Amino acid sequence: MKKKEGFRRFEREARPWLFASLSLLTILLVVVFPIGHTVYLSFTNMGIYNYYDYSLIGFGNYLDAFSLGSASFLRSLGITILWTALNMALQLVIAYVLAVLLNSPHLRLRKLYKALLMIPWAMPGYVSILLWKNGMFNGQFGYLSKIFSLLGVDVDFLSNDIMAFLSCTVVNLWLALPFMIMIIDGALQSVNRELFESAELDGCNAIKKHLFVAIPSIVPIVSPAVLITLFTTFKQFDIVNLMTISPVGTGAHIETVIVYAYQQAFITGNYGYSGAVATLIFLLVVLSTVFFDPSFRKKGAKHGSR
Amino acid sequence: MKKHVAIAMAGLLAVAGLSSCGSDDGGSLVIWHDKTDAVVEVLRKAIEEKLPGEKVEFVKRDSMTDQLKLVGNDPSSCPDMYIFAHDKIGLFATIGILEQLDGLVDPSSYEESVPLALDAMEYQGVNYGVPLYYETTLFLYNRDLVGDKDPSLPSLPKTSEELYSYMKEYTDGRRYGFVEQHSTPYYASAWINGWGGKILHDDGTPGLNDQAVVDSIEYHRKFVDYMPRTSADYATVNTLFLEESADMVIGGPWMIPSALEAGIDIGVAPMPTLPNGKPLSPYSGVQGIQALKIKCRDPERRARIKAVMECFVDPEVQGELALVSGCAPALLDAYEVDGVRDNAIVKAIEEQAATAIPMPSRPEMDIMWSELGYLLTDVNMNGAGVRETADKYQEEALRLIAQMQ
Repeated sequence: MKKKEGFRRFEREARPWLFASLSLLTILLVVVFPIGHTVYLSFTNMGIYNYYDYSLIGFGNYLDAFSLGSASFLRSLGITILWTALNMALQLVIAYVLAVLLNSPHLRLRKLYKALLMIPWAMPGYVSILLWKNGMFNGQFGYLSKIFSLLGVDVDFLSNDIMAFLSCTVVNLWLALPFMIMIIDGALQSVNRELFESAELDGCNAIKKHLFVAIPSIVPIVSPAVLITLFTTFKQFDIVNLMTISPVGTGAHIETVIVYAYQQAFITGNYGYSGAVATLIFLLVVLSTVFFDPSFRKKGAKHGSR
Repeated sequence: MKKHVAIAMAGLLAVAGLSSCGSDDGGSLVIWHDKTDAVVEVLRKAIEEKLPGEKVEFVKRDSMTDQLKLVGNDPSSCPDMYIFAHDKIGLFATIGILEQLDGLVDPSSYEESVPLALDAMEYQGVNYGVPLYYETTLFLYNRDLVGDKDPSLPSLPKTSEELYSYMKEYTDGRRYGFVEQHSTPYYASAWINGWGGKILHDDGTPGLNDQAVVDSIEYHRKFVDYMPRTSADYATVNTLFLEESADMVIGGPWMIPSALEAGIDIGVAPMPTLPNGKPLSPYSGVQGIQALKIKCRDPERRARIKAVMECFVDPEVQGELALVSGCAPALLDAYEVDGVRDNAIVKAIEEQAATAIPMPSRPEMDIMWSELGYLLTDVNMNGAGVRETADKYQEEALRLIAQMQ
């Protein structure tokens, strides 16, 4: 009797694991194993000359990553942080303003505007980027270049670092704003109108209404989306690569960490070093998840008894 | 729901597992390539005619280098042979996945080939492949704008100094005398090589700040003043030529079909000569077939691989390959085939082959392409000084190469 009960209990507890086991196995194979293998490679000297017979070399690759060279890891890390901060700030401000405008009470053709704002999202990113590069920024045929040269100014959009960085930022905003506008627009619609009315009664002006009523109410709704965007921006590869490096360099050196890691692995064939860079990026992302994601921080409060 | 997903996942895994084993059934030989359907059709026809009953599967791979690096040593997923440009031979030989050609294919069958094509297949004294066809960049011009088609037209520059005066005279906001991808290493190398510079020495040391390289980039810079400075990619050069806004360009044979389609009366001229009396000397890419070491272990399979490789060493086959790919054949006899001898593109490339040199295939070359690219864009687009920039990237190249070892 007791034996049977024990078995039942085992069955009850093992059942969910059994059901989940195949999914877990898949995750293990496609997510955990590659990460583990990358970490392992980062401690080896795997490269073109030691392709199959590489050996463990300790922290050498990590030391290399933190040494200063002309195109070093640290420089690309700095660029990435600047890139992420600038893009996130611009995105949030612009998306918020546009979403508020979309929600103004007497706006006509609201649906048309919304549809137009979604177009960049509907286009494949790769195509958008190349269209911007060749259609807007090309020094010979680009629309923007033409406009500027008509005004008598010659602008090199992609060949010096600062302009290339700003050009890439513009393209990233073009690609990323639709998502942010949609999220903030949805969040704004869920804010209780009565809050605004009572704020008005309490003597709030328009700016204060946004700062103290609208924004605090939408923060919990938009924060997961902001977090997702933060990581997408951080690991944005296509824009910088297609705009300034591939297929031919345009003269700007604005490699972000992901582009840097890619170049190390696939151009210089330095897998050990590239693995170290990838591991550092991974740690950085994990740390920032813990730092930014409210669900990690609130855990303690939720399960206060533990 | 979750259960269904799990079952579906398991199913997918099983299918993936099974399919990856599929190629090792001893049946078909597998050839990876990155070519057009027309090229593959010629190869397939050759096998059908000469080796009836032999089953060969052609698989198109977009990122051949990465794929071969990944599975080149894994008999269950690597191909038996692959057809690709020669400049990765050094890399594959270094990681040790290529079979030597000596002892596999009889040299007498293919040694009557264009010397450049034979050189390209060799890495550190060992022969790794059978050359099929090759390409070089060409000096193309619009016969309605320059040349001897009409006496009123300016004559075609023969030296780089003549070219420079031409550019100075005819370049204005709408028209360019001459345009090339001036900051793309593959194209700029023609100037460096012609000057006698070597961006990578045969022993694998970089030469970015060698006097000849620095001088040639310094000399080349004055031409850039009369070209689109910041946009020098393929799209720009090609469009300028197609819109008749560029009288002369240096471009690959792949530019010719679209130019003909656009109704441009296109001419091919010898590369202009530099002040040292030598012409610009472009790099050449040679397409060849190589065999994977791991697949050549089994004697029976080895014999089949040998037979397939040998059946492409045929003037008719290579002649036809050259015609459908817009390149020139490797075998000397292929130039006598009907339709090849009088083909203008083939002829132009063949003439160019005398001065062209095969791209170095050492693995270090990947670093050199990217460092030379930085050097060129810094100098040509951002006005940096040649000497100090060359020193900077030479140092970087040395550091990266040391890291590679």
